[in-house]
Amino acid sequence: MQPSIEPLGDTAAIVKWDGWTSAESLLHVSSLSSSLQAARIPGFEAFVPAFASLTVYYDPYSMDWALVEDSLRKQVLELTVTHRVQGKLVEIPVCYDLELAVDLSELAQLHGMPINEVVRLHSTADYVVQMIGFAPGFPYLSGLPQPLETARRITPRLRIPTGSVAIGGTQTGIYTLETPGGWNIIGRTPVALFQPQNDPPCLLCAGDRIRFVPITLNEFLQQRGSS
Amino acid sequence: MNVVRILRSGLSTTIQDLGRPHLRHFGIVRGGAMDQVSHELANGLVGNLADAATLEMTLSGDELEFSAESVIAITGADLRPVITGAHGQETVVPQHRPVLVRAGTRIRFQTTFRGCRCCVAVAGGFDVPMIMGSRSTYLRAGIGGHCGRTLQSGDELPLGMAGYVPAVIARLNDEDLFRASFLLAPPWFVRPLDLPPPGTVVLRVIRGHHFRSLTANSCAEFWESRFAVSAQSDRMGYRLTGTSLAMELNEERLSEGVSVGTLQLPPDGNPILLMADSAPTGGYPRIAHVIAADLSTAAQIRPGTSVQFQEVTLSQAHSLLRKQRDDLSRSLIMAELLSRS
Repeated sequence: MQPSIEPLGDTAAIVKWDGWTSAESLLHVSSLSSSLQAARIPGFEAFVPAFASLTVYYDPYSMDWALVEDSLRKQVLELTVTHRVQGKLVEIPVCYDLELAVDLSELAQLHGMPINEVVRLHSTADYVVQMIGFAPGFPYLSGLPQPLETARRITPRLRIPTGSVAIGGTQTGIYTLETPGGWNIIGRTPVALFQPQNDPPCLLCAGDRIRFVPITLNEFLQQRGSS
Repeated sequence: MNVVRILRSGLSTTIQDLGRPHLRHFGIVRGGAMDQVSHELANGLVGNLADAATLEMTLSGDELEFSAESVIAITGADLRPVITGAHGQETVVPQHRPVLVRAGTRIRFQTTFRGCRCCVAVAGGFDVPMIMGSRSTYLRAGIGGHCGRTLQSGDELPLGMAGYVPAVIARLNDEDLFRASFLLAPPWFVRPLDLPPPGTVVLRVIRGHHFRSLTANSCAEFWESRFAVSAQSDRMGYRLTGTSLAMELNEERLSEGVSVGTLQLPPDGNPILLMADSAPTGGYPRIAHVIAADLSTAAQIRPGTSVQFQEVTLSQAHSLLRKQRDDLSRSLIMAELLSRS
């Protein structure tokens, strides 16, 4: 089965793996993204991996649609799909102290489990970065244990502090900028995921694997001070 | 070091270049000048490369003071920039041509007479620090441009070294400079971006993936209606009101890539036109995309204006963009030839 390729406006194309499981599509999305990056086809500007699609931005001044479609079709046909994600493993320290984890006790109550059980489940699972979006470096992570799935808050908060680790529906993520947001905040990391002066500016990429390591409030304050 | 000082700030002025188109996979906005045609034109007129940083003034402009003799060009919206003389007489600074201003010159940009965004280029460009490959102000992240924010009174913006002096300026001699009270400008000008006419602005679009999921009524209404650009419109996007559109099915969608120009339909039924500082991904249905050749026009639409959409094919969209780029190159070649004549 081949993915579909269609125009997204007049400056991008979207390659979609509709109806595939998220694990399958992630492998295809990340393989195609890497192979396109390696191919360095002149005229392609950026590749944005999402849950079951890859958006390819091109310069319409140097490529017409026929060339865009042909180049993508060729890459798709020649694609070697790996059997597991190739991203790096990143351990992210998280402080689950109630001082920072403003929605943790409500979430534990909602699921009828003790707080330390929520923390244990959240910090023992293996996660994969499905995509980066919403804000610079914000990772959408799959792999959240099913008992922790929690609907977004009805009224989003206007300001969520940078580093907040949160749960939204079946996913978990990390706020990389102080922004408004509707996810449930269950902890905070001292690690800066978005550092514009660095190259690359973001710590995580689609396909990376994540593990959360619990730390105390003191450790959080120390690590934040030193980073 | 030569600087431009902000004596009084406008409504919302930022430093912009061509943005960060290569970092969209990190969730970083493309950013850059909203009206790229006027940005490139202004840069070309003062002898800068297209990626030099310019000022983008929105609706009402700033009052600027130039610390040194500078070559500038003003394009885009007409903010009727004036220089006030010793006896209070006002001289309007002409647009769409290179202009030489003397050291100490003050230019006061007013509230717009036409258009929404005015672009000011200075030979050498605004030399603010490069961050993630660009000097563009990224307001939401608080980085780039001058301190990551809109300009304020008292700000001093450093200028880079001018690469080459436009021929028309280079040919002026000291005598000309002496005669000129404040500024020197050639009588000619290049063809600017057509500012949107008063009344309804037509934006050309390509259908989006989810257009077919609109109700039959909404499909018809999309082409027939005039949408108002609401006051809640900025560099991130324009909210369009007046006609509420509906999808056949309001299902949850996975986030996917979007583009500058994408028309998204949130559940309230009022479309949002994504502009330069929009996030590169979004989860709302994409009903249409304003073509790249019309994005500079879109950047010049003021809140309150009405817009209507007209369908074109993808190949028409590409031809229109090529024509726009070719016209821009021709204008700049013409400016060079006029400079030498």
